[in-house]
Amino acid sequence: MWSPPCSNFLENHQRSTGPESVSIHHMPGNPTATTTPRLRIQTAERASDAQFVERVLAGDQTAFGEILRQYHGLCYHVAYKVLRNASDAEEVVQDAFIKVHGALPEFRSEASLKTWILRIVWRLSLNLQRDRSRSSWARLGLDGDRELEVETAQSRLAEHPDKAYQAQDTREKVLEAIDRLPEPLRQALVLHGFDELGYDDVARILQVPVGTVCSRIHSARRKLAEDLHRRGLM
Amino acid sequence: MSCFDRVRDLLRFKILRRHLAAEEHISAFIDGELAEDEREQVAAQFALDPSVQQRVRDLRAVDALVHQALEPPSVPKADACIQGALAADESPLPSTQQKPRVPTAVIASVGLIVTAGVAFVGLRRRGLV
Repeated sequence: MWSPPCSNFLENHQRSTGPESVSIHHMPGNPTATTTPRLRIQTAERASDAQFVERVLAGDQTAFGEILRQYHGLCYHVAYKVLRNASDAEEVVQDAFIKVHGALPEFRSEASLKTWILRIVWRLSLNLQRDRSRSSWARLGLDGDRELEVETAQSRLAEHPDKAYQAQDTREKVLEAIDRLPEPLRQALVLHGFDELGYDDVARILQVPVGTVCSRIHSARRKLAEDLHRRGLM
Repeated sequence: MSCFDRVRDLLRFKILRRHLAAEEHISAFIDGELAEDEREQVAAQFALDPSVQQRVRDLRAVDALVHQALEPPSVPKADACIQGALAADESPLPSTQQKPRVPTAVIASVGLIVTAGVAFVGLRRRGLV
């Protein structure tokens, strides 16, 4: 019986470090990992999750603030990568934190608080993205943040016209290529690329098997590589 | 389809499947997601096979472009967001105990009795009962 290529590594990894452990990144001896662009955002340690939740449920406001502070950066990045809009991402993170507060009594300590919070952020981001795409303002390209982006791009253009134009052009082409990917591949690609989120975390957020995450990330990269090659960006 | 064709198709399928598995291993290798034995296997391929080196370079180039395209220009300070959430936190936490709910059967029974009563009174006034 064939199993996905990533199933073996996860089984090995879980046997050695437990099911909720964070994936190994930047392994010594891996000749590529050290230069792969990945975000490194400080997040809470897994062991303290249950303690924090207990403190919050006991009415400790400081503990709740600490949880939010630890996950804010990661949540904002995830929301921004889905929505590509600063004010929408802020709105989603704020709403998610309020929901987290309301839903904390339902949190089971055997789960990872990080992926539990990120799943809330993920769902809210997708909902807002869907609502925004339906709005007539978005269809006309007149939503507020776009104006801000245009202003920022114009100011950059004034400083270094050639480089800024080229960078903006490349960015737009890459975003178009990402948008052309099938939805499941795009979702895996968006959640991938954080130092704090291994394939197992992405699998929990998307609620699919780890092998599926592995194959989706690879397919997304391969399709993007082909597309970007055709457009002369690689 | 002859027996020979079937065997040939099966072999092709197996070769394709192995090829795909190896391809996905390269992605997992880049992300540092492989177990040690698998990582060593891909690292050996990487060292010996220029086509593997090229594929790794391509996939890493894609990562760099995606990273640049999706990276937010700046991350806002957490304080305002946290203050907002903490303000909502002033409301008491929802209790894990559910409020006692009136069963649907009781509501339906009461509705039935009231309807029957009204009907009975109406019929009695008309002298039908």
